[in-house]
This record gives sequence, C-alpha cells and structure tokens, in this order.
Amino acid sequence: MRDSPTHFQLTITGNEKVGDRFFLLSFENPGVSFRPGQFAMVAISGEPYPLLRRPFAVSRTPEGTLQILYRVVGTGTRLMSYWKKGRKVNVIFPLGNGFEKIQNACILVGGGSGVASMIALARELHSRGTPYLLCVGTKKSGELDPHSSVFQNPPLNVKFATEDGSFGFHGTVLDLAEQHIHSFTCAAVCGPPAMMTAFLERFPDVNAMFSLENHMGCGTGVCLGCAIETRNGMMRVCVDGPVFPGKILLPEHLK
Amino acid sequence: MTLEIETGGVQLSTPILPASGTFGWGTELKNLVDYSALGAVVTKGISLHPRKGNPQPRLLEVPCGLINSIGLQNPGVDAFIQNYEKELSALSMPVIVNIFGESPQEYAEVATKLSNCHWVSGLEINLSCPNVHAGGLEFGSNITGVRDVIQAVRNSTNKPLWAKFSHSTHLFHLVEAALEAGSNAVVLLNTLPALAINIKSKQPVLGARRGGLSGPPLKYVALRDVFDVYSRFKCHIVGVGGIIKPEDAVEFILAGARAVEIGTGAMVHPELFIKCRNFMSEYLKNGSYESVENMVGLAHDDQHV
Repeated sequence: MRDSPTHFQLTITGNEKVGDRFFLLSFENPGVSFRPGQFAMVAISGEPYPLLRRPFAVSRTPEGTLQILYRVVGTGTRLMSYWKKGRKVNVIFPLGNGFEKIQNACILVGGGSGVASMIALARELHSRGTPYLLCVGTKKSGELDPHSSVFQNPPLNVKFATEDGSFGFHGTVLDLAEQHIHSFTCAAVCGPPAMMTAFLERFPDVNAMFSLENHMGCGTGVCLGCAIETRNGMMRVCVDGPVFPGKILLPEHLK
Repeated sequence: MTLEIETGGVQLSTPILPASGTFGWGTELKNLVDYSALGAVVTKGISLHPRKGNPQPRLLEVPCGLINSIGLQNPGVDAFIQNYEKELSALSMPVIVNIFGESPQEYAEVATKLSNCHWVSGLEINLSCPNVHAGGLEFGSNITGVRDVIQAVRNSTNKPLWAKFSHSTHLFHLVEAALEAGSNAVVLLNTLPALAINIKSKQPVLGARRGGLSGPPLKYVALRDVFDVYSRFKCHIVGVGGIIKPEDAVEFILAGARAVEIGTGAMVHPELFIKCRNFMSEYLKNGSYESVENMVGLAHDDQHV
C-alpha cells in the first residue's frame, strides 16, 4: 500500500560523497510506505533562492534508512552537497507512480544521474530474490564509486560501463546492456533523453519501463510544467509517471 | 472578528485564494493543502477547445523566480465540466473558473457553458491571451480588446466576472474599460512577459521561446498596481503576484486588495495557504479590526481620516 504525499521535516543522518559529483543523502525514516520509482520534492532552503523544490528518486537501505542519490548539476544540488548530519529538510513525498511489482528477470539500465532512479528498484529485486542486473553507465571512471554503499548495501548485482573505457566495460551503458539483455524478460531504464531514445530504437521489442526525468514546478500535478506528449495524449511526468511503459512514449518528445 | 469578505460578487470565507495555473483543476492538492484556508478555489484556464499547450521545456527557474510557458494546456470546457464537475461541486467553497479564448465569441461560448453550472461561483477572465483576429495582440493590451471580451462574456452570463490583467502602462484605461463593460472585480497581476537565452545554443531556453515571470519579484510590481488602481477606482481588487510569506498577503490588503491569490509560492510550499490565513487572523486580532474589510486600503492616506 502506498501512502499519500505528505510534508515531512526529515533529519539528515548522512551526506556522503560517492563519486566525482555524486552524493548519497540519508534521512531518518518517517515510516512511509512507497514504491521504487516514486520521488520526493526536496526544499533547498526556506528562502526565495533557489525557489523551487527539486525532485529526487528515493530508495531505502535494508536497515530502512531513506536515501537520495544525487549529482551536483546546478545551484540547488551544489547547496545540498554542503548539507550536514542533523539538518532538518522539508520534503514532500511519496510522489508519482513507481514501478509495479516486477516478478520476472529484469535488466536495469541507468545512465548518469538516471542511476539514482534504478537503486530503489535494484534493492527491492535484490531483497525479494528476483533475478536482475543493474547496468550503470558513466563517461569515465570515478564518477560513481563502485565500492560505495550505493552498490554495497545490500551488495547489488551490478556491472559498470564507461565511455572512455577507464573502468569496467568500454562503451555506453546500452552497449553493455545489449550483451546481457537476452537473459531478461523486462527492462527498467532511466537516463538522459538521448540514451532513452536510443534504447527505444535499439530494443523496440523489449518490454521496458522508463523512469522519466524533467524539470518540475510542483511535483503534484497542478502546474503542467513537466507535461509531455505521449501516444496516450498529454501526460504529466510527476503524477501520471514518472514511470511509463516504453510503448506509449514518443521518442521525439523525450528531448 | 471575521475573515469573510465579499469580493467581486463572490462571498469568500477567507481572502486567501490559489492563483490560476498553480492549483490544477482545483482538487489535486487535497492531501497537501488545508482547504479550510481557502476562500475559493481558482482553476487553470479553460478554453472552448482542448489545447496541448507548448513544447518542452516549459519551465526555467531564475534567481528568486520562475519563467513558465505552459501554453494554456487544458482539456476544453466540455471535458472540464464532465471530468471535474462532481469533485468541484462537492467542495464547500466557491469555485472560480479561469477562462480564455482566441476571440470574444470563444470567451462568450465558454462562459455560456459554465453559466449553466450551479457549482461555478464566478469567472476569472484571462485577458493575456492573443487575439488571433488582431495579429496576435493580447486582448488585455488595448481598450477595445478588453471591452469586447468583457462585454461578450457579460452578455453570456449573470455570474460574477473578475478581469485578470498583466502589468501595462495603460492599466488605468484597461481597468476602466473592464469595469464599464460589467466586470465585478479586477485581478492584478498575471505573470510579466519574460525571456531567457541559452548562449550555447544561441536560442531562447523555453520551447515556446517566450514565457511569463512569476515569483517573489512580482510582488512589488503588483502591489504598486493594486495601490494605484485602488486609489483611482476604489473598485474590488484581487491582488496576486509573488506572495511567498504571510506578511505579503497583508501588504496586498493594505494596498487595496479585498482578497489575494497565491501561485508560485504555494506551489513550492503548499502549507503557505494556511499560514497566510492564520497570520491574517492574528493581524486582525492584534489590530482590533472586526473584518478584513476594515483593513482594505489602509496604506492610502485618505483611509485614515
């Protein structure tokens, strides 16, 4: 059962650097039930700048700690990277529709900051004993530390690809996924628009769910700032998604 | 002591309202907003025909503000009534439906359809919409456009009408035209015209290129317009723009507004509605005012005689 979105003042228990620009933010668990793929709108400050909340995928460790894996990409995430243990943060969650319960072997494909949306799902499949493989793609080695608790708590079945070949598989995360995808009956994908578009083109017959990212004003369905055109009409990434079946997505509208 | 106030023909239980475009179709935020704070709900803009809205990107955060170009995405008036009538008519507070059109006739047709809905307490008329028969010039940019739209809507419904404007150097003339044509109140202000450019692509950032600026910086422009329009017309005004803390709402009432709408601020912090209502209550109590009406326009010298 999913809980309704609620305001929380969550206390930070850790904000660990887990790569060149990646951080893993941990919170005390307020005892909320949520699905992998659901997200939180995090208030950066109580001040008018930065104004908007930021949307982040949320996962849970085996001990129940809530975690947000984020990459520093702008002012909001840069300020977050300075946050210290003990700080209280205003968060609205759980938001959006996550992944349905996956029963069959699933390959998880995360590119760049899109990896964050795959962690909760990987952890769930791991704990339920469902076969899975998490493919993580970055440009070069060091962007995301493979020994960090992101991948080690619990120890996930993960393979890495770097575009320059400096660590793991030499190539894109889709090149890596292609080598293994025949062993799986479904896929979960999150990454930059170009990567998701390429996935749709390279693996048109794979039963894939996509977790979309977009700039959001509200995260609650009221502003339509994140709405995109799909085969089923206009859809709001925040409340109609962020998880969508690949078959309803229009590649030209993922950009 | 009461927060109740009649504004532009609508009886409001509090002067705190959501701003059109930031509160969906009125009931999405039931889990996050204490509706007892709201004097009415105000819907997103509704047109005669469905509209897909603008291409992505539709949002750009800027220092202390937000530029949006949603492009008036909506399901059209018929689907709006069909899909949302049940939930909206179950609300205990008035429902204000924001409407727009590409011609005065379209505004009038939307108004006619909503006129038959008992659960619609009033219409907010978005005048910042391009007139396709006048080279895309916004109706709200000139007296003829305002008069034609308001008259057409006035002839289609007896419901209270609120005319919503963006900032203009001709604001006095536009407000006068709206009031003469039968508008019960004016809503000041809509977003300000805005643009941002990406120096790498050398193109505007937003998919539709142009957008509207909202957020805290608007407050000072909107307050000035509320203050000046109140001073000139003593008409009913709904103040909107940049409210991000409870004190801001009080400033609008003191400037001459009888109610306020909160948009971007409450989109970020949904609890802002109840904070504003509680603060307004305290402010009345501390000043020994019997009602919000006693506070309206107190920033004007002639109110103290």
